[in-house]
Amino acid sequence: MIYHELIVVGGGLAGLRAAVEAKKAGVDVAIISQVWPGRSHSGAAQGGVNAALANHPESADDTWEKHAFDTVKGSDYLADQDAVAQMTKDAIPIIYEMEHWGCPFSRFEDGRIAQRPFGGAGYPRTCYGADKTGHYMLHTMVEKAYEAGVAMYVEWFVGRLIVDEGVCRGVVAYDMISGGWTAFGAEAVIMATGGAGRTYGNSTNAIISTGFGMAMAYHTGVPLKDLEFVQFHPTGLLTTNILMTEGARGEGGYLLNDLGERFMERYAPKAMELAPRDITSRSIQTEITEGRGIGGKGYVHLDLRHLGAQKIQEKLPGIRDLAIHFEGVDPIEEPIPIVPSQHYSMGGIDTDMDGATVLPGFFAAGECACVSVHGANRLGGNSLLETVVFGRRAGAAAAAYVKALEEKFDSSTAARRAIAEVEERIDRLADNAVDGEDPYAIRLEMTTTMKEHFGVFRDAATMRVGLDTMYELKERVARAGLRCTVGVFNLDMIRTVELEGMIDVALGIAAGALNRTESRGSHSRTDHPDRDDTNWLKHTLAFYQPEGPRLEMKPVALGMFEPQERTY
Amino acid sequence: MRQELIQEHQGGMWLWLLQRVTAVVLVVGLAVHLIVLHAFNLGELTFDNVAARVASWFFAAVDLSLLGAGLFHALNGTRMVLLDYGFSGEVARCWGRSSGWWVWRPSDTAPGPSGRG
Amino acid sequence: MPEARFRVKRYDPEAPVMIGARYDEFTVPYESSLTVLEGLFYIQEHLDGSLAFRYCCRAAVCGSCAMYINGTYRLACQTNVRHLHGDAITVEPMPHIPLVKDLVSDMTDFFAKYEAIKPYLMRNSKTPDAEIPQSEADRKKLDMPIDCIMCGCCYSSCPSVWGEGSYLGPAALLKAYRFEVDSRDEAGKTRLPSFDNERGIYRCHTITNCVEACPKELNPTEAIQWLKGATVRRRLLGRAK
Repeated sequence: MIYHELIVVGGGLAGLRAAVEAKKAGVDVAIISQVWPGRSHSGAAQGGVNAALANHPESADDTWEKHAFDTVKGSDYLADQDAVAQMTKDAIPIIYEMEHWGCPFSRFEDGRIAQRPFGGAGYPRTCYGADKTGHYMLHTMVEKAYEAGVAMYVEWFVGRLIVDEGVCRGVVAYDMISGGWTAFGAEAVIMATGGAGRTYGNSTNAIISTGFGMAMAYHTGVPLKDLEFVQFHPTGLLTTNILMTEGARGEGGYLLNDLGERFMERYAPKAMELAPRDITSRSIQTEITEGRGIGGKGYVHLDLRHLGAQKIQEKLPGIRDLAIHFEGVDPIEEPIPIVPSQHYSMGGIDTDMDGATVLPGFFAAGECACVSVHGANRLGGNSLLETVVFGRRAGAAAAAYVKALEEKFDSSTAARRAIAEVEERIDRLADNAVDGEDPYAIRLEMTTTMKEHFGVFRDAATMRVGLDTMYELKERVARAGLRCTVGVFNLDMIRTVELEGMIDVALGIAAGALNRTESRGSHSRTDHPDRDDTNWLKHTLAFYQPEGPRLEMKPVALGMFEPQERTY
Repeated sequence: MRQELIQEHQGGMWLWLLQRVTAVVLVVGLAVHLIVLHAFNLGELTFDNVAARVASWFFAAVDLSLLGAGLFHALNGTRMVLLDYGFSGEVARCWGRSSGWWVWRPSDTAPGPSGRG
Repeated sequence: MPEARFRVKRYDPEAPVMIGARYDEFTVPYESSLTVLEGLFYIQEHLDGSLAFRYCCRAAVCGSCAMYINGTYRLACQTNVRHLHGDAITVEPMPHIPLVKDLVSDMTDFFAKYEAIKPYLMRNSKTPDAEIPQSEADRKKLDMPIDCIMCGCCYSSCPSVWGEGSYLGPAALLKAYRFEVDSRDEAGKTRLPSFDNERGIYRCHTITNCVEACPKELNPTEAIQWLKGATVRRRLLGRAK
């Protein structure tokens, strides 16, 4: 058994930030990651990170309160306002800190960090590094973690949590390079494994963003919050759903339908293309449904041509590369075909502002957690911010928790039991190798069902069919067959094991969506088109049960801003 | 391996710089040498003539610096070639590497029987 | 439905040692578009579950899936089969790097070297309350090196790495350049000993294989030459940069 005082599962921005913070507090901390941390999905973020630095000439009177208001309004008032205030207040020092650590933000002429306008924001407050902000921030954080001397277990796949007498005591992980399952003992665990994008077939997310981290917490009894709120990014590439940053519209890009109209003027006359993502995605979807997609087909155009070659090459070089390589379209010459694509899980492990959960010793941060600062719809540029702000807070809180422990008791029995359970489960899957279900067929059916039945627009009839399919898939996945059980870099095993968790999370999304009979933020029901603050201004909590999720409600923290109608 | 990599080494700048400087000296010096010897009429190639020529500080300086630069450049160059062929490490590994990379097709060298290319 | 024929180089660490490499052939059907990575997933899901390869972002930003495809360094996710010629697509791991399994290379040394050059910003002076100012011109110098995704193509392609296993290689040195050239870095001479030596910058003989191999079209060779000049300027002329 390997022992560290604190284990961070996941090496993206949130996990790294938490680890660095805990290390600074003098705690022995290790990161366990399925990929080298610099390859984490945080690096795919493009547009930027919000902080009311007031560097932009048009944002001289920007403040964190205005940032908080935009965030709360963007969330359709479902965000917890105390958490939002904390995040927007912390944003300013934490972005300066990232800069001091070397993050290569783009600059204005006066040498200050450059900012650009972003969707749903009243001021240009999105700090950026070209259109690769996530990549730059992630690499800066990795470098900082190396400097701090954080231990890293790279290419280990975490399979389950160790819980001993109601306290989280570590994890069980598969060493992809050497093979075999090992227990990691710890006084506390921080989960920072990212979102559940891959439960959808049309996701912009990395292939490793399966939501399995959420599932591990869910299975130990920690509730998942607000799962039904799934963000669809307005601009994913047509064939691959690869992200085309909101920064493209922030720099002045147009959305055009088949008639060549900037159709956003019908839906958000003031904000136009820079309306929040939920509204923009719905507008695009409406255009497509009403037959005004390009050539009547299922996509619209993101047109950057009027920006000119120089601006595109300077501000959006990454977008141009992606469009050329993956869609065969050069944005300087042609408009880019785009569709709304699953992008972000607003929901996740239910945590407080310090990342703590109901399970002692178990913390969560980043996209896999739900504090909640994004409520029903996240604003662009707030996800990178969330990872560093709440990563730091979770790291500090977990370090304090570890240091406050009076005695460190031995959990080796629980660890052995956990390993045995994992191995038993693998054996069970292996027994089905010959006549069991094909896990990849189940995976495909799950991603298709989620995409088609729980997409941008939802209604009871469609969702009920989808939910039934998900229940059926849950039953089938228990009989899934595993063909390869041993050896190093066993993708068959990893992908089959994570599928079970993915289905449980997807089922949570489905059940929550059908249950919420209103439209709020990204959750848009054609049969209940209005927001219902009387009955639904509250969070959904999903508790795991073998037969399917049990849903409970939890009040929203208000206080700063009263809910009002949301127009842009 | 890891320890060896993390360990810091010193030196190499002077050799690199001198290699560069001698290269410049050679290019310029050889040009001068050839031009002077072939383009100008320096008289017959007799002992007296040559002795008189070498007695002049200009010829002595050019020839000596050419000799020095040539020696350094050639010897250090050879040393670098040997280093590139792996002579700095343990001999067996070096020979494996040095003979390997040009005889075999690149992708065939990894993995060797030990699992390390 | 069009089909693509894949020839995939296999390596199983647990199999007995054999002479010569094993290549397995697979036929992958697809609808309109297929990347090599999608092809590998199809093989893993439907034809041979034991196939091992790295994957993550599938959008050419994470650097996981660098491979040797039809004799060229490429990112599998970024390579569409319609751009490949010949009747089969030969997929091999990056050469000259030890293997873990199939297409998965052992990157331990690669990352140890990255760590060895102290890849982080060093500061001595007091940190301001706001950002450290940086002119647009100074920021522009970073454009090239910060785009590195650490995929390892340059490292695998460098003959100096093949010859000397302890040479830092283009990727680590490009990272050193990224910090040395940063106007905010105040490392002075502290980072120098990690690369100012013959398993560092002086081992680069400007072969430029790295430039050709880089899927992000970066130029490590140029960066290393800059480091050589900067080292001399710093050691002999006492300049800060």
